[in-house]
Amino acid sequence: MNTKILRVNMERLTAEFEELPDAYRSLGGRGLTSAIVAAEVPPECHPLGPRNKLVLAPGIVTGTSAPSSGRLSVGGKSPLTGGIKESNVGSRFAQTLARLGIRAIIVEGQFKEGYKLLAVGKAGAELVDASQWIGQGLYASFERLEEAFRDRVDICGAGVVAEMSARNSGLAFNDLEGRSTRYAGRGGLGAVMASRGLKFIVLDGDGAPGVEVEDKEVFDRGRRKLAEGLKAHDVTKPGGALASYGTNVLINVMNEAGGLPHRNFSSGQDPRAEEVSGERKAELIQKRGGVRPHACHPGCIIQCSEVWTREDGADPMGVLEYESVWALGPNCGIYDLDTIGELNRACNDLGLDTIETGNTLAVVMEGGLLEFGDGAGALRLLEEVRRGTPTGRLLMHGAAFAGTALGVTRVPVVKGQAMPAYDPRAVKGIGIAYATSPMGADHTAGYSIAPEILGVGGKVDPLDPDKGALLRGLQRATAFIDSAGYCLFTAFAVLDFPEALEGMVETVGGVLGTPLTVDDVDAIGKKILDAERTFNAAAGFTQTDDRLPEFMHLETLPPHGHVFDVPAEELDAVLRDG
Amino acid sequence: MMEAPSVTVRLFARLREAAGTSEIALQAQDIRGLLDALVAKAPSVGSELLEADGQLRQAVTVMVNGRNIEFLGGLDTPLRGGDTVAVFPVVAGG
Ligand code: SF4
Repeated sequence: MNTKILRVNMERLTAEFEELPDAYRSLGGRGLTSAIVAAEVPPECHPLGPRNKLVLAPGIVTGTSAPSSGRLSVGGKSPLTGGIKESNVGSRFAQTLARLGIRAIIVEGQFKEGYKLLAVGKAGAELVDASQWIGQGLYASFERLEEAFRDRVDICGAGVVAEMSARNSGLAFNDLEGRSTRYAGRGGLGAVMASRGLKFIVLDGDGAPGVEVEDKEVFDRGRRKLAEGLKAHDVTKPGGALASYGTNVLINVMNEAGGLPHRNFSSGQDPRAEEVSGERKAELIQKRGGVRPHACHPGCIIQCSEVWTREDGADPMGVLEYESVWALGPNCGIYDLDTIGELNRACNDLGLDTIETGNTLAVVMEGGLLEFGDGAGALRLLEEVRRGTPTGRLLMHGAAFAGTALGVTRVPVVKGQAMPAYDPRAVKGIGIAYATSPMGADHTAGYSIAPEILGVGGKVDPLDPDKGALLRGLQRATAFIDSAGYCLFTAFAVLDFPEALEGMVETVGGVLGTPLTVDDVDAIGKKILDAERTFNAAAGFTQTDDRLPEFMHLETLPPHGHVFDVPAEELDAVLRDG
Repeated sequence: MMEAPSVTVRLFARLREAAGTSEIALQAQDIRGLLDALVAKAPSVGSELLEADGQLRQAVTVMVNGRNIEFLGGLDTPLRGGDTVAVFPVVAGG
């Protein structure tokens, strides 16, 4: 088991390795970032002030041969929510970090005279001047960084919006072609890194020693069981649903169910959704010579990703995810994949989270700054963001900030973070996840869409509000998966095949050299969530923060006319009881 | 006997590829009858929809006007003229 932490002090400009404390030995990914943030960051601190820290941790099995496990957790106190944040990303960066023997990077203190770049390799870590990269788009920067270092380095970068302290600033990571398209997008962690005076982290994995596995036999057994499960399930298998259509196949499903939010959550259905569906996109990618399927890191069996291009097949943008298509498309009344692709490209280049950006654009459309459906206008607004004009500044802090500025009351946020692509009035369980997750509105916190809509992991009625226990279990299982380092999409197989879940747990136990069973998953997840909730309480959150916005209780959602009717007591019981 | 109501069937993902079309107009009294009519009209969707014993595959989702038939009357869910029936193979995302 690897036991190094890299502590980077931006005030003293030091980058030093230290031993992983015993208390953290069994932690990885989200479990480790949340434990370090809880222990080292004062909950009441200003997220962009000197006392916040940024923590990056690969999962426990990340960097091994375990399938679909190239995942990284990034943590800190969020400038968007004011609470603890774990933002998760799939990138080879995660695997390289793990193979360099590093369990976590902690970035602390502030360098105020410009920006530094942290270069990490087999020989050690150093901070170098990064002034030449200031103010530039991330696509070009990532390309030039590969030239400045070497091909196939791994990169984490904060964009120009992070330099402007934007609450909606993500951290970009490289895809397999080196583009800035993989995002730890949510919660404004780009600004946390930039406010430390750190602009980029570059990893050189050449000669990296690899991840030490304590019990190889158990690990290998687990890996085989999990891989078999992934290869057998209709969703995750090669050539299966995710490989064929990507995540965007959900556009039509959610639209049919009346739960795809259109025009700032004012309707759950619109016939134009078909124009931006996964089926349509797969067709266009094939026609244009884009790439599908595609993986976000080597070793993913599922391969939900793709490379979207312009109409003539040029200028590869990267993956066009369901969440991004929805946020920048139907939620803004935009039903043209090429416009959505360009909006996504702008987000990737500027360092913006697509979900928060789409919601912000929809809110300012509602506030009269732009007409719904005006794609060219939306692109113009993102250029204002790039230039940091007053209008741009109004847009870069997310939907809640923009809603306040324009006097809009229909603002779909929880704890200041905008909602993903499922309207909770039509799918009650996901609303419980949005309301109760310590992260703010986050579909990945407890993906109840699987049993509520997709018939994966059981079938439950999306309109039944009585789902507290389901969401408690899902949130805990998710916290475990985020700590193990597996892509959440492995859950589709793991929910349906008990042996695959067993295999997953065995890989974790194998790396750690600790006998773990499926029965341990709930307790491990609970501990992580408890630490996160304790941090949030100390940061000032109360029960009233675990609520959906008022309009969701008052305004019925067309076409089916539902409101969100999960009682407050039920919400309060979700993570407290059990 | 009354004529069966006309409904619009929308197919998605692999089912659409198998049928070679995204929408078919059919007449049926209930979902069971509709699936029979669908397979008769587009035999290539049969193996995507049904198990060898003719049961609807567990992974297939059928919605009538946006409601999963699991929470209506299952295969006996009655149809009315103008209903929209959506049929999905197992898909997922996030
Ligand atoms: S399923 Fe998709 S997001 Fe998950 S690890 Fe594979 S390519 Fe990345």
